[in-house]
Amino acid sequence: MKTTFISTTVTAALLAIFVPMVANLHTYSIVITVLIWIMFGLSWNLLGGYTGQVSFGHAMFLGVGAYASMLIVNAVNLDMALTLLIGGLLAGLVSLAVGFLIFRLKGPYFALGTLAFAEIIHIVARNMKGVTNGGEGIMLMNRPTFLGIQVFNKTEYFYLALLLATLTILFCACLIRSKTGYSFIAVREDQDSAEAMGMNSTVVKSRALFVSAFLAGVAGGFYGLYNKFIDPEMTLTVHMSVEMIFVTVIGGIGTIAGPVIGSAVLISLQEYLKSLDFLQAFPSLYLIVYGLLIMLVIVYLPGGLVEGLRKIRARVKKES
Amino acid sequence: MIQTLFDGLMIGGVYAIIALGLTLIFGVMRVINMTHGEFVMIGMFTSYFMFQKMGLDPFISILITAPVCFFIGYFLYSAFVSKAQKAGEENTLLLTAGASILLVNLAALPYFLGPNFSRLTGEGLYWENRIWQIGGITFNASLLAGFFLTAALIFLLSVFLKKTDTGLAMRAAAQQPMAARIVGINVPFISGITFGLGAVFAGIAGSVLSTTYPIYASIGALFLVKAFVIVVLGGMGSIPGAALGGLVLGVTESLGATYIPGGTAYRDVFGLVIFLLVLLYRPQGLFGRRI
Amino acid sequence: MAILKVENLVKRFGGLAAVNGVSFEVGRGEILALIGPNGAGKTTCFNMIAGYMPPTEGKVIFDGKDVTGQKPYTLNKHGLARTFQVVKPLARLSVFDNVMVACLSKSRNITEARGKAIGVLERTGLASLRDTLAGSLSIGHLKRLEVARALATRPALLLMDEPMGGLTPPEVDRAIELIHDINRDGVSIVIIEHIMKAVMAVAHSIVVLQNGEPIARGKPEAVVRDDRVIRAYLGEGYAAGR
Repeated sequence: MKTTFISTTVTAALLAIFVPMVANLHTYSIVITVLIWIMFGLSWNLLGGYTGQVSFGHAMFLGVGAYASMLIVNAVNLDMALTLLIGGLLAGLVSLAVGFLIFRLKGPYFALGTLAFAEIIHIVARNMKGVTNGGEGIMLMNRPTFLGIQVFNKTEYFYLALLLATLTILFCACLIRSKTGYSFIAVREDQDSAEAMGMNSTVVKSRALFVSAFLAGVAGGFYGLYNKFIDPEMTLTVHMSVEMIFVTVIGGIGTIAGPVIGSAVLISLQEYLKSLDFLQAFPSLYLIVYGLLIMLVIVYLPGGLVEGLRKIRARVKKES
Repeated sequence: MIQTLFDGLMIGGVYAIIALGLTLIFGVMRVINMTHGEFVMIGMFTSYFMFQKMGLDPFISILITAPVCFFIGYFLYSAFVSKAQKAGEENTLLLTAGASILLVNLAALPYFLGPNFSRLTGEGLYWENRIWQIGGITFNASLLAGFFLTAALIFLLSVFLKKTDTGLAMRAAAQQPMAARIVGINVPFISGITFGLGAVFAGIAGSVLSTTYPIYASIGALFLVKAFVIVVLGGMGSIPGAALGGLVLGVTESLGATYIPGGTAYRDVFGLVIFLLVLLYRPQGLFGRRI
Repeated sequence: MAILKVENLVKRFGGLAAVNGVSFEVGRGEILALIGPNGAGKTTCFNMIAGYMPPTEGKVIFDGKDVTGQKPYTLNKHGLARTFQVVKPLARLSVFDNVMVACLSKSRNITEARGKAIGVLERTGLASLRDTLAGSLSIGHLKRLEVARALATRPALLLMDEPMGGLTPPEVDRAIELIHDINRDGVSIVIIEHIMKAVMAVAHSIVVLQNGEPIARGKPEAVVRDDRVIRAYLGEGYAAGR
């Protein structure tokens, strides 16, 4: 725990100091995107990686948080700290309903159930013009503040993203080592066994889902406020749900470092491929690499890049 | 009203063949195949190019679509799915989701971008706007032909499964993979063939639909959802379930689109809600789990 | 008062009655062995007592309270623990963490659980393996871990489902010692077991099941000589030849 705490805070501090020195608008954009996806990945990982419940519909929690935050800021310009919190709690509430209905499903059927649920919310959002403004989306109309400080330009959003991501990492690291965290892992490893040891597996899963949804909602709220615009197609799609999974799986499912590494690597890869001249004619090339990478990781390196790094380190140690 | 009914039955027939492929894969290998829609897309693309380059009628190009889909499916299974299966069903779900992204985007590369949202049309196309009138009801000719093709395929599949050795091996592998191995059935090979066969059905549906639907790389998702609803409703692994479910869905969509005002937007929601309800309260669907 | 009283347990799966009217009592501090040929319904009884399956008919009374149909985690809180015939370790955790997780339900936090876990590991002779991954243990150690995890939940009654399955003779001896040890601490035990040497060594009384029904009960020496029991295990031919 100490190593995680130190490495996270030190890295965050270094980023806070050095990035503003060298970054332009484009770099900021990349870094913030990485930080947002770190949060999305960590949230999914809590339920999928640590508790073993693979959800294919996590975008719905992201979406609830995003829409809640946008609507609240537009309506009463509440401070971001409160807004994001409310967005997260609303997402958590939705998760309670989802869990109540869907936790009786096991394994891949749970995944399909969450997928169906999320798609229903997606379609409803597209059509409920009164609340969500349908396909036209919602534009940010006010200038929000975070704890009183105005957050408007890229640099300010960067600091906030860095803060939120760091808090999320530390929170997850703490949670995993707590009594609750171990109950998640026990249910993942063997649900019957966990029940025999006194754990109510449904309660444990619901807890994991709630926290996971909360984090997704908070990150979703930030995502919306940062982009200053949201619509159903950028928040509630299967694509978003799936990306949350893959960022974690490629990085290393069931680890704290996984979503961090996965997000950094994938977003950077995407940027790199976009910038290569001869690949300009193939905008879908990134996705081809992405799809192939997922397949290769699942078959040959199920522990993701984290496992890969571990193996390399072990081999290096052997040589010396 | 009768017209709407028959319209629904026609499209339902094609849905049925897509669902058939999916239920076959699930029934034999317990794999939830997220790439299934992409094979429909591959069928459409193949027929499109065969027509553009060689003037081949889409129904005839099925002779090409079928092997193409079979080999891609077989390869996908042998090289990837079989290996991922060891780690569990969710793992294969993730794997096929990744494969789906790969296939969609391969098809979206500029070279393949040919169809670009158009249907398969052109001079000399037999099916171009062709309508057959039977007893006062208007039929889209390609869909009607497709309906009969589907019926024939279902019949052939049933015969294949009951009367041939390979079919028997498939059923054995579905019910008891361990026992099947022990009696000498090459289960990985049979599974690969099953996966390929499922892909073939999806591809044939694609060829049939190529003159009716706009063709684009990500159209697979549309059919995947429909296939899932049908398979869950009819019972995973059940052939009559897939057939009946396909017809039911086709008719429901047709009637719903015609008679429910403003229903089109929420139409997909109905299907999804049914899907969830069945999954939660009658997971074995109408006809249970076995082939 | 008996710590466990099972009244007329019945479990039907469709038309088949896997368990058909089983009743018995376990006194405090007693070790009761549940034996019988395969398919007699022994594990099904356990599943009903421990809350994995609700009985079709019948009652389970634990420590004077009717607990029929309650969930495993509720029963565990009241002091009932069980081991599984096919072991269920938390494979990706270390032996220490496996036991620590089991201690969690009766501890306030991780630190307290950690302290208790050390004690349990010593008791069950697993201390030297504390950092090994549970998934890589041999069957003998896995069975021991199963018992350790059950013990860690501080049960008053321990249900053991074939704890000696797959053990070598010296391992069986050590397991017998462990069972005696646990019993000396006041834990009542119901044990399903096929290895007669172990059954005779630990049981205070035996209940014999065949086809879901009890066919004999009583002190070990008497049950083992019972004609019906011999017939059930060794067949009519053997019994006739005696």
